[in-house]
Order: sequence, then C-alpha cells, then structure tokens
Amino acid sequence: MAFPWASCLSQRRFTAASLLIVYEASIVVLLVLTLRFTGRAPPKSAWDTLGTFLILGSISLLVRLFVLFRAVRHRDSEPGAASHGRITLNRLMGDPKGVCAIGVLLVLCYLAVVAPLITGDPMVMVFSETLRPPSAEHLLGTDLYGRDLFSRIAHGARYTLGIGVTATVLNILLGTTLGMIAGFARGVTDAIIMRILEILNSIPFLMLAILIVAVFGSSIPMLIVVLSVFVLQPARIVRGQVLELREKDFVQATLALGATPARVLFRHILPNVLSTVLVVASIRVGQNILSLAGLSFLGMGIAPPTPSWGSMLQEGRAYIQGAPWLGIFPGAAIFITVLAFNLFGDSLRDALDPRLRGSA
Amino acid sequence: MASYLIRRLFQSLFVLLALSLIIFFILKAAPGNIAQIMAGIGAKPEDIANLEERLGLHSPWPVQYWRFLSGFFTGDLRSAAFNEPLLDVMSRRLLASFELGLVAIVLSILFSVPAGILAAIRHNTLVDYGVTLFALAGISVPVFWIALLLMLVFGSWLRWLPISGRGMDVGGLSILTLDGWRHLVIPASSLAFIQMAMNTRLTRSCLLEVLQQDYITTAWSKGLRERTVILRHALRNAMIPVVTNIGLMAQMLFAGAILTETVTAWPGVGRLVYQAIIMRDEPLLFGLTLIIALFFQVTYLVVDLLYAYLNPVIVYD
Repeated sequence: MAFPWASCLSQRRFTAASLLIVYEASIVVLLVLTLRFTGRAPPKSAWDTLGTFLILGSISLLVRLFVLFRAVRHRDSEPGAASHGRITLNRLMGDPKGVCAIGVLLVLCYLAVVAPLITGDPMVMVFSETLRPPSAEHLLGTDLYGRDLFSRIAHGARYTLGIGVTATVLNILLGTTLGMIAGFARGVTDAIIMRILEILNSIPFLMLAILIVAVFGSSIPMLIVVLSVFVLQPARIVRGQVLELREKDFVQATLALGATPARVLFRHILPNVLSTVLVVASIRVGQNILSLAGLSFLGMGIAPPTPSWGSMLQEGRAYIQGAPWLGIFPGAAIFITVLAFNLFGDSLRDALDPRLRGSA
Repeated sequence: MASYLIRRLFQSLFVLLALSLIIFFILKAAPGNIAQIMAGIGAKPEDIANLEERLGLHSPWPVQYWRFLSGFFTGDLRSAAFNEPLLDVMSRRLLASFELGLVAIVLSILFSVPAGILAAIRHNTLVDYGVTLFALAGISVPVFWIALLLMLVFGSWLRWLPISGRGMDVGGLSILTLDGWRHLVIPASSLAFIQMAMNTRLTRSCLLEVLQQDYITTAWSKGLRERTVILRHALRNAMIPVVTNIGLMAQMLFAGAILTETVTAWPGVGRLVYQAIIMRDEPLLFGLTLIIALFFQVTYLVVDLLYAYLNPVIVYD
C-alpha cells in the first residue's frame, strides 16, 4: 500500500464516532458526485428508498460491530501499545486477499447504493429490444422482456446485500447470545438450547427454508427471518469457546470476586469470542447470499419482477442456449459477491489470529 | 458404551418426534390446503369438500397428526398427489439419489484429498495459493449456476452430453449403461464441486496442523524420506477428521441435491421434496421429512462412532 491509510484510520485520534461519521459522509459524497455526473433525479419510488435504507443501515451495523470490537479491545490494552484493532487492520491491509475482497465489496456496495442513478429502470419492458446480446447500449444485454440486464443486476445487488447482511447481523446476534448462554449456564439451559440446534440440524436447511417460505409467503422480512433464525451454527461455535473460556483462571477469579454472570459474560467472555464471531459473520454473509439465490432460483425467494440474481437465473434458464448472457452474468454476480465475502472472512481470520492461518 | 448408545438413541427419538410436530404445525398453519390444489382452479365448492373429506382434512389436528405418525410407522402413509404409499414413491427416487450421491462423493474425494495434501506439503507456495483459491471459489459458487454452465458448454455448445434428465425409466440404474453415465456427468460433477472444495480445505488444514507436531519433527530428524513422513506418519492422523467428514458428505445425497436435482431434472429425493412442497402434499412431506431426519441422525451417530474408533483418545462413556 502506497499510502498508509489503514494505520491512519486506526490512530487513536480517530475515535469510534469519527470513523462512523467519515464512513457515512463518504457515502453522501459518493451519492452527490454520482448525481452530478449523471445528472439524474434521485429515485422517488418507495422500494428504492427502502432498498437504500436497508443497505445503508446494514452496512453501518457492520461498521458499528467493528467499532465495538475495536472499543472493547482498546479498553484493556496499555496506553501506547499498538491496539489489537490496529494490528488487525494493518494485517488485513497487508494481505492481497483482504485488499481485493474489501475493494470488490466496496465497489458492490457503491453499485448497490447508486444503482437507481446510473442505470435505467430495471422493471421497464421494451418489447422491441428483447434478448439483445451485450452491446454499448445494453452493457450486459437484455432479457426476455427487453429489460436491461445490467440495470437488473445492479438493482439486484441492493436486495442481495441488504437481505444478506441484515440476516447475518440478526443471525450472529441471536447465535452469539444463545451460544454464550448455553456455554456459560450449562445444565438444563444448555441441554434445551442444544436440542433446539439438533432439531434444526436434523434436516437440510434449504428444505426447511423452502417449506417455510412456501407456507408463509416470501416477503423480504420473511426471508430475513428464515435466513437468520433457522441456521444457528454460530451458536454452536460460540458455545464451544465459552465452555473452554469459563474454566480459565481469569473468569473463575472474576466470579470468585463476586461479579454477576452478566458482567462476566459481557466484559470478560464476549471480548474473547468476538474475533471468532466476526470471522463467522463474514462467512455467513456469503452463505446467506447463496441460500437466498437458491431460494429465488426455486421461485421461493424474492418474487419477480423484483430484480434478484437467483430469479434472473431462473427466468433466463429456458433461453440460455440462444442468450447465454442471461445465464452467465447473474450467476457471476452471485459468485463474485460470495467469493469476496469468503475471501474477506479468510483474510480476517488470518489477521485476527495468525496461528489459525489457512485452517478451514 | 452401551449407556452412551442408549442416550443417543433417546436423543434421536426426541429430535425426530419434535421435528414431526414442528413440520405438522407448519403444514397446518398454512392457508389453503391440498384439496384446493388438487381440485384445480374454478372447482366447485362441493368437490373440494368431497376431496377434503376423502383426504381426512376435516378431522381435528391431533387425530390427523396421530394418523400421520402411526401411518409413517405402519407404512400406511399415502402420498396425496401421487396416490401411492410413501415407500413406493420414495424407493424409486432413492436409487437415483443414491447413485448420484455416490458418484459425486467418489469424484470429490478423488480430487480433494490429493489436492489438499499437495497444498499442505507445498505450504505458502504458488501451488498452495492456487489450490486454496480454487477451493475458496468452490465454496462460493452457487451449485445451480455450475450445473447451468456445464449444461450450456457441454450440452448446448459442444453437444457432448445430454442436457437434463436421466434418460431411462425411473426405476433403473444409470451407472450400468453408457447413456446413464452420460446423463450422470453434469449433475454429479456440479454436486461434487462444492464438497470437493470443502474437503480440500479440510484435508489441507488438518495435514498442516499435524505437520507441526513433535513426532513429525522426530520423523524428519530420523532422516526418513518425505513420502514416508507424509504418507506413513502424518497422513494417518490428519485423515481422521477427513474420513468423518466423508460421513457427513453422505448427507448431501439429500441435502445439497435439492437444487442440483431440480436444475438438471434428476428424478431423486431432493426433487421429490421440492415437488411435495409445491404440491402441498402433506402426508408425503411429513414422511419425507422424517425419513431424511432419520438418515441424518444415523449419519451423525456413524460419524461419532467412526471418530472414536479412529481416534482412541476419544472415549464416549
């Protein structure tokens, strides 16, 4: 890296709050710049507003989690010593995998946010322009109804990222809480939580998801609930770590000093499982996006004509011989997005704990 | 050991029972019912009522649940849409699922284990990075997209392979005929792709971990050849998690195959699950769920026992 902005970012003078402000301001600046260069009016439809809100909200939630992580790590470190967050960030920025992943993810987020400004309406059907191959006018071609494929993919990114990240944040919050309670309380509580996990683990997730969505309808909130509540692997991982941690001397000592379980959990155990949780979170985003695409592909996810990558593949499937771009581009979008999240997770794990480097 | 097995048995029974209740309530909580779907759009209300009567949808829920559960164990559970006993509907699909899963598992092991070993012994070289990246790509790719691309390239452009289906009656075995094999290639390789990637990662990380242990250093310092150290000393311990993972891979016979079987029109259990959900075939879905859950419980038990058998350090009391 030519300019050490990673270490700049993690200097003490950049507090948690200012990091958020910088982030949110940069989105606004990007929006304004895009508006200026395209000269188009901002979107007015309710869905566009909701989409933007979902994306911005979920991304800030992620940033907030990261900031929380930094703050928790900071408090215990000696003054003057390089903080854990700073070391992590520096390692992340020194890893080509991590830099690539972050770059791709930033481009995707940007594309998702400005999609209504830089592309045409993804719903407009032009029947004189059906199944056109990629050209200067239609960057990725058009589909069966003459809708611009690039516009649909860019708009699809809003739903994919919005739902994927929101579901993951909820999933991680729920999973971490359950896992911490199970591992710390042990006994009956642990047994009950573990049985719930076993029941969820006893049939394929996709089968349960299809069933629930088929029965209760596939609205966006429903999809988020399905993706966040019915996969609780994070709980299992966290529980394992907490079981180990609670036997450590520092935890036992704190308990002996009379600290309440809540205090021990949140002040002493949570900081120690946070790095695992962050890694699991970034991998779960990818998995959620894959599940969402699978559901949409089966016609159980986001309903057409709303642009979603999975249902675009489903629609294009019958025409793939004559119009291969309909099968290639939406799938490539899913692949690149999931790959970026997985790469990021891999790189984050290497950065957080070099001992685990390269392990599965 | 006996007490452990008995405890596991009760746990599994509890899981199955709870799951059957959950599935039953999900099915019943849904608006509409199978009679309306079977009667079709614009059917007369009395026809629908007749169908409901015949399918026993008027009985109270506990009665219906008991009919489902007892029917499952006595083999009386009949699919409403196929109008056949559950086992007949299942058995024809089971064979197709089984051969698809088996070929996919063999295919993925053949590639993943050597690739994982290669990456681990050439740690931090270009080979390692290449294998790691490939494996990472493998777990990031949607399985139905891979199938679509394979169909596009080999089925449509090159015309080497048939695009979908199984090319024969539902009952037969594909692996006995050349045509069957040709139909098997695309679904099996797309199904194998993801498992291949995961298993490669697992092999690599397990071997890397073992290679750092003291007894490997001892083996090196004795002046043993590389192949002896890797194949005789390290691999034995590194393969324990990999072997147990293969047990879990068997679950993809059912699990991962919903998407693959749907996109390639492979008449297996995964596609049957999808059809049952679409058609709202409650008895079929109820039975399928229990059979799949039972299969999962068996694989979990086998995997745990296998793990204890391969790794004597682990003792289940």
